[in-house]
Amino acid sequence: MDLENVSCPICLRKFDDLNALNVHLDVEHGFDDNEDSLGSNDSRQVNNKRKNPNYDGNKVQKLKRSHWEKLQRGKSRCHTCGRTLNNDIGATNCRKCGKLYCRRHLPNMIKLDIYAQYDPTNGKWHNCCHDCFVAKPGYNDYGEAVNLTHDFFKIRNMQKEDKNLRLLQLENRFVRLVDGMITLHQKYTGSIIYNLKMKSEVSKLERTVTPWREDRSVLFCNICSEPFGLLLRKHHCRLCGMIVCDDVTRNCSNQINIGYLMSAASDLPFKYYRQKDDLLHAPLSIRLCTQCIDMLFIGRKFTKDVAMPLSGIFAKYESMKNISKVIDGLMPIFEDSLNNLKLKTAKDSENVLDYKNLNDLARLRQKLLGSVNLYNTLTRQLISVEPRSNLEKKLQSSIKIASAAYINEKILPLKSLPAILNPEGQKTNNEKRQNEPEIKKLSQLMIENLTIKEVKELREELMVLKEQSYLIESTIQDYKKQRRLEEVVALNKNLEELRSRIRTVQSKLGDNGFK
Amino acid sequence: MNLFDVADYYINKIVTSQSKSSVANVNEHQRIKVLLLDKNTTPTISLCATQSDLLKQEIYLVEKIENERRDVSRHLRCLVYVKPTEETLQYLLRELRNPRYGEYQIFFSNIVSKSQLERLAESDDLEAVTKVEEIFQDFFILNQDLFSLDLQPKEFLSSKLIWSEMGLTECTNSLVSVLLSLKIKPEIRFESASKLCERLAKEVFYEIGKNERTFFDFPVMDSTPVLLILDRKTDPITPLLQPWTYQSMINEYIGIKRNIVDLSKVPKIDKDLEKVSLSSKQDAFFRDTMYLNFGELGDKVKQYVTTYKDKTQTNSQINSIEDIKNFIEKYPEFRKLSGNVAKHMAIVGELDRQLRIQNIWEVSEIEQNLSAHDANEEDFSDLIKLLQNENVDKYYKLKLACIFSFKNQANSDKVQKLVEILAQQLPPEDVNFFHKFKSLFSHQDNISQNKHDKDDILTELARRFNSRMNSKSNTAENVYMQHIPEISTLLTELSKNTLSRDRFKALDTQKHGATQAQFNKDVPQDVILFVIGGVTYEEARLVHEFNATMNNRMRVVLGGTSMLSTKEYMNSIRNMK
Repeated sequence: MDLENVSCPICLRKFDDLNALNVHLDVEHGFDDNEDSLGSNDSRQVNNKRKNPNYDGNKVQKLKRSHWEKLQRGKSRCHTCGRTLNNDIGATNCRKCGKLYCRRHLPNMIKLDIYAQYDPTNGKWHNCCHDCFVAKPGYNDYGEAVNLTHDFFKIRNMQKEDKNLRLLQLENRFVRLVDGMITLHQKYTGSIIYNLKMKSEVSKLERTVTPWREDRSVLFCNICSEPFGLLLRKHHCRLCGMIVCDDVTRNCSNQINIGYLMSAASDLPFKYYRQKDDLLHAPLSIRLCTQCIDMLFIGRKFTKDVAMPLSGIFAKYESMKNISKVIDGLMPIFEDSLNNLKLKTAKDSENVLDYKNLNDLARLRQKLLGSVNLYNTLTRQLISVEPRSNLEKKLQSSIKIASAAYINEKILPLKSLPAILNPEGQKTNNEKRQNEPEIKKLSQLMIENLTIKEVKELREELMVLKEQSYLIESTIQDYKKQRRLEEVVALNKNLEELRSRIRTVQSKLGDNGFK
Repeated sequence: MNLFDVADYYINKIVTSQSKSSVANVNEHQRIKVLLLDKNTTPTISLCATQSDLLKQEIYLVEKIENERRDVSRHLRCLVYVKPTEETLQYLLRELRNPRYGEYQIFFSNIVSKSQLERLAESDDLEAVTKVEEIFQDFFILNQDLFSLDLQPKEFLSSKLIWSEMGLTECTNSLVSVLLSLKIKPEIRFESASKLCERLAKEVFYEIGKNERTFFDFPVMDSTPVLLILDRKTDPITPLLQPWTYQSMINEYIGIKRNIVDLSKVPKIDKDLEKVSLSSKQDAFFRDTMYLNFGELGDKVKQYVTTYKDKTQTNSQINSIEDIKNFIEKYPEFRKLSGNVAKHMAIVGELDRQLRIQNIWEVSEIEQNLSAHDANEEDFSDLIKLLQNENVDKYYKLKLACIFSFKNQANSDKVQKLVEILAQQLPPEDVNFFHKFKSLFSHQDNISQNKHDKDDILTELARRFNSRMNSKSNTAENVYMQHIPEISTLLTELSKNTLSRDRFKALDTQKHGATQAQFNKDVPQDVILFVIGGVTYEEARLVHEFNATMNNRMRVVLGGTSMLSTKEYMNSIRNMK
């Protein structure tokens, strides 16, 4: 046999010579461990002598062994597979935690220092169990993520001051221009020289607000960079003074009515803010470039939109959300008590059921069913809202799917209560006759003399009726506004009929109605 | 190193991201969420999350940032998940200047540069952004131990041996994101004979060094993980052979692209089944069968159908209220099952049809023999016979010839004879292709030949053992699966720590060369294999089986620039300049 190149019969690792293989077998496959853990002093010394030459003389400290679990023949079991450890399946301590394992369940290698602690840099390789292996820091770690929000905010804030200054300047100019123009407008209204005077005065005013760029110095539009010419005329933006074109397709600048501008920036301190509606028809307008428009108005529109109260499907969704919060809150309570009940009845079927608990449970279930029903109704209302855009249409269909899934998920545990109660009821019925009236009372409590099916039908009817009456009410309101009084009378009759029907159904349902 | 865990973690991070304002004020109305993706992250999300997952998190709308005609609705909260490319950034800047939604939380799928962040902050005048975060999933997760970058060779190579600038950055970034997502700071080893591997390895090494402080400050592991970069060119046989396991067969005969199987070309297919999704993450049956060979698969499908039939039987007997209740409770599950059975039946049926009409059984047997045996007269005569068979598609004839020439380069007589037959059977372009293939892979064979000589007796033993098993059990599978891809040998060598340091040079990111000698002794416990030029599903199966047998002693994740079928690989060779 080639002594220079031997390999381990177990793990097939190659070694330079037999000694190295020997050490490897001892240390990593634990071939001499049985004796060690049995505490046989003699053999250990022999072993040490055998090992020592391979390490650096006697200086090398050995791995801590005090924490090793002692092998007790016939008693010790492998911590993974639970088999009794013997020579056939091997018995080795995990070098890290010290527990005993059979040979098969000590597959991993870990670097340990002499105190049997994990030491990734200076440690030496030792066998360890799967648990210790997986527990090493950084193992099985995943999902690096870096939060840049802070940096982002910092950069944003740095530039904010500058931008705010510019915005302030623009707003100032804007207010001065608008106020000035209105003053002039009022001054010359009714005068014969209105057109004549207005033009020159306004143009004077405009130049005091912002210095205009020299016409001759500019050859290209400031925004679209198209060259000016006969067809593409030069215009000054009245706020920044830059020269831009007025091409319709590129939309570089626009002539906009003062009234509109004022109502779009209602938070600015205009002198004549109250007259803004009258000014909508006045021949007063300002030319603004897109940049200035964006700076002044996009932000205003954005904050206004965000602060707007929810409407349409968003409002409906919010109430759906609130209902689902209620359901989510009640559900665990219901399920807990249901499980308790199940446990109790399973423990001693002889025992009389705790009716108070049962009643509570039934009431809770009632409440939950009601909520789920309401949720369902809200969903239907949400879907019937006329979508204002493609986006809302998509939202509606998604919410419909999600809500159906939600209801399905929540309704399942609710179904199981009667299933528990009924067989239990029958059982106690047969065994203890004296309980009979009580049981009956219980079922009465639960469904108020009506079978569940009937309750359901009535409820459905009630819901339809209510929806109808609601619709009629709203149309009556509309008609009243439109002064179609004859139709209102007819509708009122309808409504009366509906209401009386609702009343009868409600009285039938009693406590089972919606709250 | 389960990639599905990574995906779940990241997606969860995105979809459950809390609104700042609603944290501060609980009564603040809950906003409906919209998920805004770009063309790169859309597949990432669709591979790992279902629509119902998203709906559960109140994401009722998924939009693409490239779509400029989206409706404005400022009551929505927007979760942005995009790759930080220049193109996407432009869209994002435009979006922020005039926000369509009320609030933005931005997640990037890879490292964002400082200047990109600055530009983003600059355009956020309205302060609509409340969160910016980097997560690292710039790659596509196909199986729990398989990822792909979906880069075609013509996209990342400028000529046959040189990276294109774009391709190299793309590939490097993606690979770095793989490392970050698994929190691994590896020793990089690469095929030193391949210029492509060397360049990529150095680039990744440089990236890691550059970001050492900011990203790669993971705790030191006792065994340094290894990133092994290979070149497809060293093992061209594997992607040329017809595969026989479920997932790889679907890829070969029907095509599976990002977990979507397109069955629309199958004759008489049901309308619902034209496009089906097939993910080992969601489909338990597929998870069990994806690595089985066609024979075993048949049994499993049969079993599956039987259990399904049993279930329908029990369902059909609804007599008591109890039955009704059981039925209703199981109904959704039942419907899902029936859909799944139909799906797998359709796929397996189509596979079977393809195998028959294309004479795959014969072709595969010969090509397996060719690749597994060394110069065998019988194989050669079989090959000649097949080449003259009119029923066999030209494509397969060409492929067989290529395999033969690769295995028998020394035997110029036979190759010459082969060329003569090819000239009769195939159009001139194909003969040209054959010569191109020959010249591309000629010099290389010597290396692998040498290596095989050195291969220890053990593999030989295993081979002999296998062949004896063959004759005993006489199952068809072994004839069709004789070839063992090279990565199998590499993995075994890695696990024994005998992987040649000359053939695979190392760049150690941990200890920059100082203690290399000491370092060499450790067996790696975590390995990422990356193949430039693409990997096959057959190799993915091999890695999966390797992981199972190693039982955590060594964990391997396989990745490639793309997933290959034989046709795609032939085409990529054809397109090489």
